Amino acid sequence: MKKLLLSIVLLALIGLAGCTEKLVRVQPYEMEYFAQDKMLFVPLDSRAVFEMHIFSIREASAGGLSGFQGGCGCR
Amino acid sequence: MKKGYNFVRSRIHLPLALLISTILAWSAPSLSSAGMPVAGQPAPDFSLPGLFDEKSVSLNTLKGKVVLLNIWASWCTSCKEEMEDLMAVQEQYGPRGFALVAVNIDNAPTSAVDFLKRLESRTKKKPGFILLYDKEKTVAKDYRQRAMPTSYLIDREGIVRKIYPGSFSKSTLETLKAAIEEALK
Repeated sequence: MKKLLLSIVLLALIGLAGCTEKLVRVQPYEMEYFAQDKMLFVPLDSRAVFEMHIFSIREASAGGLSGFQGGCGCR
Repeated sequence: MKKGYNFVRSRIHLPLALLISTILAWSAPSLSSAGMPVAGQPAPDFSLPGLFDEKSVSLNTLKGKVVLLNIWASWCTSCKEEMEDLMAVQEQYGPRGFALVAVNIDNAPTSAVDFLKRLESRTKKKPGFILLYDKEKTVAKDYRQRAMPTSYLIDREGIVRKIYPGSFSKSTLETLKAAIEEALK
């Protein structure tokens, strides 16, 4: 049992060795592609207000995104 | 009496400890600051073409001047924000033997050139400093740059005096000016 545990730990450590800074760290001067808008978590964040406006018109109601309504769309 | 835990005699932990120390030793060079220029050491030399022309400039030819080496990119917002302040620094200290060398490290120079043209038309002034282009990012690698932008103040003998990681704020700009004054003496 101990040998199995040791083998698992050793394998995990060997695997983790691949995650050292030498291999995965992106240097500050290499971040050109990361700096692009499409790399944002919400790429269309700048369009959010516009999309909310369209949503409100389409649904003929303002708000309605939070959970206090029943979802009937009858407000 | 409770049996004591003997780490050295443990057959399991000894190889484990050896493995961990091997991994740490392997990754240590990348975690350390080995090779990184520090204040008081000679600045690594480089020779790069201009951003607007192919005329090369090397750092060695600027010996005798106080140099502020600024590594920047057009995709780096704070790099662009400090550019106007750096223009003012060049204007103020240029006549006294100061040279600002701005090394651009964009993958393609187009957007950097566009940005500088826009800056020029907005401020109605030429940048006034030396603009170089480093597509391969060799200077950033040689100087082990750890922040965008980073500026290095190099004295008349080619020795790194100060390193400024990150862009200049109003207060750090005053610190920079004081350091330039000191280096120009």
